[in-house]
Amino acid sequence: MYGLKPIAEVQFQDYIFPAFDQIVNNIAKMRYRTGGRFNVPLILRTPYGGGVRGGLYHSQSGESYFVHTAGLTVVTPSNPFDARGLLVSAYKKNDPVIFLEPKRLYRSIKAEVPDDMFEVDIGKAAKLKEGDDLSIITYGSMVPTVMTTVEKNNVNAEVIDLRTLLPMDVDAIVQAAKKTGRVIVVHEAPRTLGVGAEISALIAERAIDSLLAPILRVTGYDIPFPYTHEELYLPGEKRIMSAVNRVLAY
Amino acid sequence: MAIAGNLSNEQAIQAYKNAVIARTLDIKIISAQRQGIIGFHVPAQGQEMIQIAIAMMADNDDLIFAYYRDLALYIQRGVPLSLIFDQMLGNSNDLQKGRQMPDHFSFKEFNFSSVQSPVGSHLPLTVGAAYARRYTKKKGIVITTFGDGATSTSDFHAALHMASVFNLPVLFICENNGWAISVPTSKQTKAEIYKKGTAYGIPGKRVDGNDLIASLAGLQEAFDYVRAGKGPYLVEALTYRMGPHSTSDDPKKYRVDEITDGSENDPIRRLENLMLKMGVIDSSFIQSTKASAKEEVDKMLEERMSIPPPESSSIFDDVYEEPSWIQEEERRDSDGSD
Repeated sequence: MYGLKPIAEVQFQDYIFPAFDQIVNNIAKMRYRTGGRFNVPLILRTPYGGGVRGGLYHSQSGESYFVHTAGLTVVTPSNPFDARGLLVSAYKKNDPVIFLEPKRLYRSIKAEVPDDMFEVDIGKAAKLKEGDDLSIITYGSMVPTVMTTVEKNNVNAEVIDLRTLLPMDVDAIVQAAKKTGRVIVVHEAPRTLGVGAEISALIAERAIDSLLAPILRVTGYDIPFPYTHEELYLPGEKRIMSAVNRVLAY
Repeated sequence: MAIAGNLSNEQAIQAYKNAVIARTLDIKIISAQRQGIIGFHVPAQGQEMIQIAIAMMADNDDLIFAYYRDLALYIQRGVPLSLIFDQMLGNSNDLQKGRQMPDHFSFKEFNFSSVQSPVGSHLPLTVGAAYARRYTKKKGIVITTFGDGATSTSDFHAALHMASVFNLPVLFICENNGWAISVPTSKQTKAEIYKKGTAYGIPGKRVDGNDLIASLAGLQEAFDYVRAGKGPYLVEALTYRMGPHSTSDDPKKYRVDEITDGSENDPIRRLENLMLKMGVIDSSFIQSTKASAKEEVDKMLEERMSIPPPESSSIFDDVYEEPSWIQEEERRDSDGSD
């Protein structure tokens, strides 16, 4: 608002809720409510998701709270290249960006990133794998899980990494549904009103004639994030393959 | 001639005229609300003098984060009546394009920020703005106003804490009008509001917000302190809410104190009496000031009422710098009807 471009970090997304009023009512709405005379060019980085033995205050996936708020842009990288590219793109925006970092991937994956400056477009999904039998739409920490699962089990699936959750790449989503007619959405966040619900609705509205099977969601459960049984909570190979088999057998 | 201290007769007369305009405007807006012309209003009657004193003390470079009950502050700072009515009406001339409720002003050219409904939630923003101001080496301090109810919010305490620990130039001014909607100050706080900064290392002062001269004198020390870079300062201006919280409530249901126009608490009457006694004005001046304020306000509302509302498709603008496919699609699908 007053000439700076803050890049803030909230240590865990679970801790963001005291600032929720500021994010929803001020940060997201400042441009709109002032008729475009003020804007908030802020990047809010925050680690999210489970798998680090963090219990329910260090494991939640709250992306839906932000995706439901017009005025915000929500991105989540699944690899080092996208992390850097999306951060550069977020920096160039004059509007607030919620930058969700899947914390489980901080130390579990390594990749080279070019030295040169590059950008990853906000609002564009990435097709990580071609395939003909079904389409798996996912993002964030579930991307490596999905990739490992389909490769290990020789599933002929195309895999889409959304990368941006608001605004979602609707063309990529609809194209995937039209191509294979069978869609699975995989995310860590609880199922009810999760990002998968929006993806399902977009497909239902725009590509229902192409569907050969119901859209299935493989997600975290609608329970608070558990500690001892966190592996049970997180979608893994077994649950993903069960959905794959159901969709293929339909 | 000076009426008191550095306050010249001319300044006092100007302050009086603006207070009368604010009061007249307030009454006019309530009547327009009752007629369905304006949707809502948060009357500022009884709080005009502290607001005028703040505007008199503030420099053009100072940023002001006001709250929704600050009509006289805008008028004394020079915001034209036309722009105030445009916002209240939400017409196509409204700088905010009809997107905010009445009284939720934002006048960037006058260095006013943007008003939000939950009072207190603007206070962390003042701290951020003060931080930016110092970081970018811009001139001016940050001034913010709020009611007594706001001092019970966590944002008030977070703001005081951060402003203090970073030694930021923020002047916090609580317009304590005795009521937070229906909650009296006695049920709001056990402590005195001006002392609430003490634990944060912030000095505080209580001033008589119903008296222009006392307000100016009290504010002087606070402004000097903040401008000298010593850090934030907390002023509690005791004032009095003469009307309801808003046009949506009936204070008869909860107020036990008696509200009487022209009481000794009425800040305009107090300045009027002082200036009469000192011979600065006479009763015919009072009459003509009130008559011309009424004429000006009536005429202005009539004029601004004829301005059409903003284009319906503009509701999809300014969500982002560039609309995403979602707003574009919704704009396309909406045909301007409901």
